[in-house]
Amino acid sequence: MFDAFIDTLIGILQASGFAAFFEPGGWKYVVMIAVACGLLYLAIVKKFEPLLLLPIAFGMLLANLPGAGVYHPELWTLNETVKEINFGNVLHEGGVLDILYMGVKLGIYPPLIFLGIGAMTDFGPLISNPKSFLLGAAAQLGIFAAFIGALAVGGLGIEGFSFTPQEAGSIGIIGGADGPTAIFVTSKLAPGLLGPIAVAAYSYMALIPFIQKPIMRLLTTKKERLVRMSELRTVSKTEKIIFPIMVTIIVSLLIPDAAALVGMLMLGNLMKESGVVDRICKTAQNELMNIITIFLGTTVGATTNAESFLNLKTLGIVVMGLVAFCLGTTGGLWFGKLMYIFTKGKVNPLIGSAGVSAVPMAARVSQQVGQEEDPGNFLLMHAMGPNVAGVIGSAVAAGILIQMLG
Amino acid sequence: MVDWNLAINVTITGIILVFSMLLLLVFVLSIFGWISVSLKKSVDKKTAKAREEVMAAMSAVKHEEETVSETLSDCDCLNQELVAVISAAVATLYIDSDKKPVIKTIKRSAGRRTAWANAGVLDNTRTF
Repeated sequence: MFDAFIDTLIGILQASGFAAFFEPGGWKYVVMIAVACGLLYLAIVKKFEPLLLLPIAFGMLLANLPGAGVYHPELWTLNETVKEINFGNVLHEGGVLDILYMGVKLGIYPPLIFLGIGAMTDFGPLISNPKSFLLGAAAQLGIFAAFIGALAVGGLGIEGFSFTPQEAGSIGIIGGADGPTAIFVTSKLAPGLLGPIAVAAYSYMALIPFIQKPIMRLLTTKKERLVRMSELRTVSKTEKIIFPIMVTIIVSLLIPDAAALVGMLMLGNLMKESGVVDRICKTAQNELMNIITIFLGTTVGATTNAESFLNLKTLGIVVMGLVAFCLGTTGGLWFGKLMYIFTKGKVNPLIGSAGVSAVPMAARVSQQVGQEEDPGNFLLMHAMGPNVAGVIGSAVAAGILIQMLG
Repeated sequence: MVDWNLAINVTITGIILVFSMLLLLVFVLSIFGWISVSLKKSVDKKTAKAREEVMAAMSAVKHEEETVSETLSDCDCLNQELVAVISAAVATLYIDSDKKPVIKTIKRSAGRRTAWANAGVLDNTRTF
């Protein structure tokens, strides 16, 4: 009887997750659980983009508990023999995060997040000053520069450090500073890197004030930072209603692969500006955004298993992602300086750095740096123009990358 | 082995396409903004003109009021008592209203029936 009890206990312990730690390669689970706990600390205590980082970190934790079975990476891996995902297998054998991950795999969650973002965005500063679009475009230079950089690093021949063009494109899109866009592109071009890229993208977005400020001070002169811009004109309701319809038609016809992101962004905005669908607009801004954020964050975090995260490629993603971010900020600032020259000092170059799509943090940083020199200089609304233009710009860049590399 | 042809092709094409797309949007939005501002200016002009006309009409009415009050006090055909009775009758019509009527002219109507006779006819021929 006692022997039977001991045998049963041993059997339970051997089947438990703890036993997996002592198997060959089991130490990786411990490391990933520690990383997940570290990210939870950053999200909760340091408040680094907690809305996304907390679900991502917890998804990472759940996926790296041996034997939990909430996520099965083998159901989503393509190789020589498995050319297509078998969704039937996913439904039969998948855990809860496998089922929810289908929204990422099928490219559903990022456009729905964009719907909520559009419902919360005011494009007025952009409509009143259309030249801000150019600053948004300039900030996307970081995407393509990082794309080339990732390929160049891969060409050095360091084992485990090489990237395919699709992977390089997914790394480059981090420079757009847009989480849903990065996830959308990566899920289509390099789904195996989804976890590290999402973690890198959202971490850098949280670090924008620390990354951008030194670059802004370095690349602008005091005289340029002191520029006070003239007041923006009032934008009529008619303009705000026609804008999303017009942008959707133009962008979707020219770059069809950007239609999902840009279309949903503009749908959300039209719902807000029309004023006739208040109920569903409120849902898009609140409940829908929150639900999709939970699903997206948790499932993206779940893809960060030890094999996909603890390797040199992740280090490459972290480094190149930071390079992409810095180059995006630099591109926007340089174009801002060009506009300062051509407008004979009417444009403050600081608003150029807001061309990265991290709304509204990047615009706030422009405001803060401007106010350091002149407390009476209010650049926020002027910086919001390039900031929201960057959202459209990064979605267009994403469509181009998917079209050319997909 | 890095495919530099593809890399350069993607980079250059991507940058050109992003800028072209957003330049096109700048162009379209600028035209749209110009049309909107022009329309607003024309509407503002019309509103300003209408406001001026109203202001002119109001000052004319004020002038007329002063003239009427002078006329009423100077007119021999109307004594002050008759004006007071007519004013009181008009005031009772607006007793529950916020509007304050201003009597501009009082003149005898040129019809065969008296005002009382007309009122009686109207009362008897009113629809149900």
